[in-house]
Amino acid sequence: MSSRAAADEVLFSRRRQRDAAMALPFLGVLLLASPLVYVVAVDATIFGVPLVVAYVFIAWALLIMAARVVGRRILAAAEAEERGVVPTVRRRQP
Amino acid sequence: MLSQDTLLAVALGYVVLLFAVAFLCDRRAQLAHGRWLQSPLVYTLSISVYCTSWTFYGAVGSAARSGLEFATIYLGPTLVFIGWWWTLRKLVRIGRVHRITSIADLISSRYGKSTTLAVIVTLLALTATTPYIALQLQSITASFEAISGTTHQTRTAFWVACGLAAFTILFGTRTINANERHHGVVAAIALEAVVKLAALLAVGIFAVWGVAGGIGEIFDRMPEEMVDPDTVFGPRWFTMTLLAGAAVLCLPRQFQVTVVENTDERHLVTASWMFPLYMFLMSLFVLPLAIAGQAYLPAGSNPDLYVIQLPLAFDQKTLALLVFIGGFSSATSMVIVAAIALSTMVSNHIVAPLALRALMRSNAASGDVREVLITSRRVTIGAILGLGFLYLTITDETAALAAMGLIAFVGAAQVLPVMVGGIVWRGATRAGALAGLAAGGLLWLYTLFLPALAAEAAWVADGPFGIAALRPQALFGLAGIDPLVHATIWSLGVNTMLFIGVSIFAPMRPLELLQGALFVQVFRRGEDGPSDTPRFTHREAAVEDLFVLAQRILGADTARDLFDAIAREQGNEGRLPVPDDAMIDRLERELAGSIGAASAHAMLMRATGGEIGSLSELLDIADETQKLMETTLSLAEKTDELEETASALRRANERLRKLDRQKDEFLSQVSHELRTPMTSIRSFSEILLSENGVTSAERTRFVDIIHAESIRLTRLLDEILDISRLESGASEIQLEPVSAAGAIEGALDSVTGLARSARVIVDTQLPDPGIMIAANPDRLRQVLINLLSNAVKYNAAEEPRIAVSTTDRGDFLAIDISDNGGGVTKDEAEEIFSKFARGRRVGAEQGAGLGLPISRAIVERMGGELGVVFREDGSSFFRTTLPRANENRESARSAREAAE
Repeated sequence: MSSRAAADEVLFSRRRQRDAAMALPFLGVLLLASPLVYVVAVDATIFGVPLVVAYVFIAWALLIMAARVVGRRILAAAEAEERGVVPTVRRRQP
Repeated sequence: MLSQDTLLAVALGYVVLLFAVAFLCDRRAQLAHGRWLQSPLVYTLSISVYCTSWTFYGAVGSAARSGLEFATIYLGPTLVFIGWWWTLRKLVRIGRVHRITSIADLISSRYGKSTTLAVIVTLLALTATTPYIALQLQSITASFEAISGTTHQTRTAFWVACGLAAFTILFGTRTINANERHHGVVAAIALEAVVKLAALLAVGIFAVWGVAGGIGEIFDRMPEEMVDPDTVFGPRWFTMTLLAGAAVLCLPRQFQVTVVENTDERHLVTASWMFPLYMFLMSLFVLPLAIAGQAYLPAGSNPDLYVIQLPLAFDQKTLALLVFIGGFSSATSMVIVAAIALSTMVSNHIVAPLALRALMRSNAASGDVREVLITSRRVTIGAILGLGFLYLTITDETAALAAMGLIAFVGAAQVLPVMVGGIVWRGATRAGALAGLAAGGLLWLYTLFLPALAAEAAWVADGPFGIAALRPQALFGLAGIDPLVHATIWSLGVNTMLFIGVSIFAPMRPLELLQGALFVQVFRRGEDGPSDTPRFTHREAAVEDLFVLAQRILGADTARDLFDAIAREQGNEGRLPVPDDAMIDRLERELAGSIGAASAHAMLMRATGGEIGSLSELLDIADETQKLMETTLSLAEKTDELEETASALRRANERLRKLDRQKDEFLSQVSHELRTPMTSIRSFSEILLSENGVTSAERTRFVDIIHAESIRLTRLLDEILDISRLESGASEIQLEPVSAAGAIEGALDSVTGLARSARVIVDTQLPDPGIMIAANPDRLRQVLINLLSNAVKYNAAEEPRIAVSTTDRGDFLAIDISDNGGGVTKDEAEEIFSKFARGRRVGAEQGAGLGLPISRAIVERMGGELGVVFREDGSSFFRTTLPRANENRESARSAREAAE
């Protein structure tokens, strides 16, 4: 793989990581602070726990896990770049 | 019940432990051993100062009163932290680049280093935080009372406040430089974060499995109204999520730990999921604890103390002690960080401007600003805790305090529009920020803060002077909604509208424009500061004056180190640095790290007497930079394209240079060729002119030579003229059908004499006399004679032979002339066609070397080709290919087609 192709790949994967980091809070708002929550606003229980409570905590946990995956990837990419494993990509406009 | 003495001993022991941790970590950080102190884990734990005793005790109380709603206080920050890419990332970078010391400093620095704005934010923060501190003091004393059974609230609270003030002063004001982070304090707070989480998890596990017997059992005991699916997601849910998200950005203590104390931007990435996880764990047992409290504790118990009363009711003294320490941890960590953040703001934005004014009036006096600032910070910390204590003693209603958490959130949220607008919108102006903050702050005071203090007052219920439209909780008739939602809509709504509206219409000062660009585009610059930005300022000062100034603020040693470092970078080691614009900018940033941007700016303006350039000048520079960056970007994208073009250019250049060389060679060859006959003509003419002893026979011979030479000269000139005409296309060649056989015969006739004298045998295979080619008969004859005479002249074989043959190649006819003289080598094959070139077979008689180039030019002009063809055995012959005449071509084609 040429250095240019490698740089393109790095740029591309980094853009995807960035996109994921940018999209995550919108997913969070959709799950926890949008009219979507009315879907689970019913009188039911799951394993003895009210559905509303279970939903909020499960969605919360999922968001944390997603943030962990995204964060670790971004850190790994930054470290790889620093060690020079992949060519440094020119900083573009944020 | 535990004895008061045991409790005091444990609390004091814990405080001593905190002191030890803070002391050791400060020492290690100073000795540069404190690497683990700067880990993402410690950073995350220090951010958890968000979870105060209002969380530790209050969340369960809130859950007991309003069910799941408590979770919004942690969901808002979760959304902000998992969305770190949008806001926190930029805030942390700006904080590092611009040496931001507090949230008031951020706002002031962004809007043109405005002191007024800094003061407004500071006052807002003070107003919102003081009751919050009172709340922490109250929770410590209340839990103390609950566990020891005593009622000396005031006395306990007083000593708690004193202890906290001592701790904060000791570790929070060691230096005044906010960039020298409070490692000891951060470490102690991280430890407290672990303790409070462990305590809450322990009591939660005890409540679920120790008391109720399982998760299903505990929710079986849940009162139906606690989690009502129909009302849980009401307006309060969304409002509180928004407020909590704003608070985690804007609360002074959160800004302090997240932005100011940040040592590495990468820690933020880890905190983006670890801090939500911390809050998730803190929230996990809140609802079960609230249910257990309601189910197992006597009716009428204070829900805010369920956490500590549960273990006490079941006689779990150790657990109760752990809970007490956990609550103590959450309260003290909040108070310590809030006091540090507030004291920085007060000293930098209220005391420093006043001190500077006094200092400048007595310019020569050796007043040390540093001492003034440190003292003012210590006094401020004491004053803030004193205010909190005072607040606690005069508002003995617990309800008023419990509501303070959310009220403080709304107050802190007033900074949100100005802060977020400031880092994403370059057009945000100081006037807009002032209008938004002032209006939002006043509305917050009027609709939420004051009514909470005086809930029973007549002006709250009926409006001031009985004006119903001004009722604080139903402003302009907006009645029937929750007071919190009401206050949020009014204060944040008016705040945002004014901020945007006034910003659009207000004029902008140059410094605002500059700071706006630097903040909004902070990622365009390097990580280490705006050192690579163009210099906008034109300031001058004597370096000695600057040094005195720096000494007063930073202290003598730090100032000396800083100036040495700058001088080293400038290449002036051992001397004072040159006070150029870059140096003054750097000094201003360093000073800003100690006293805030506004004060540092004012101070240096005063010392240097300069002002930054005019607005149009700034715009010019900004545009220039912008253009430059765009060009660089597009250049980078077009590098390959450019490289290709460059190599094409290189090739063209090489070709041109070769042509140039050939032209020079040609000229020198021409002059050489002309010179030889001219020399002989001239010398013989001189002999004739001298007439000394020249016989008549000699004279005739000389004249003959002159004649022959002038003919040669003329022929040479004709040839040169001919070739230049042919090459430039100036001479027309008329084409007509010519019999190939006839042309060859004619040429052979012309060289018969030459051939006979050289004893060359000519073999001829004439083509069908009917084959016609399109050519100019004279020119064709010239070419053939040239080729034939070359073959005769340069044939050194013992039995010289020449063969002439033709090949029918469809539309073309090839005339091949070969000899047994050895042909030419492949290297020579092209060389011989260039002007004045002579093959290695050159014999005694020499031509000018123009014959072949002229022949080739003629053939090409007639639409054919002339070249050397190599046989497989390496021998070669000249081949002249000429197009056949039209009618002939067609007949040939039809003949071939018929044959097929």
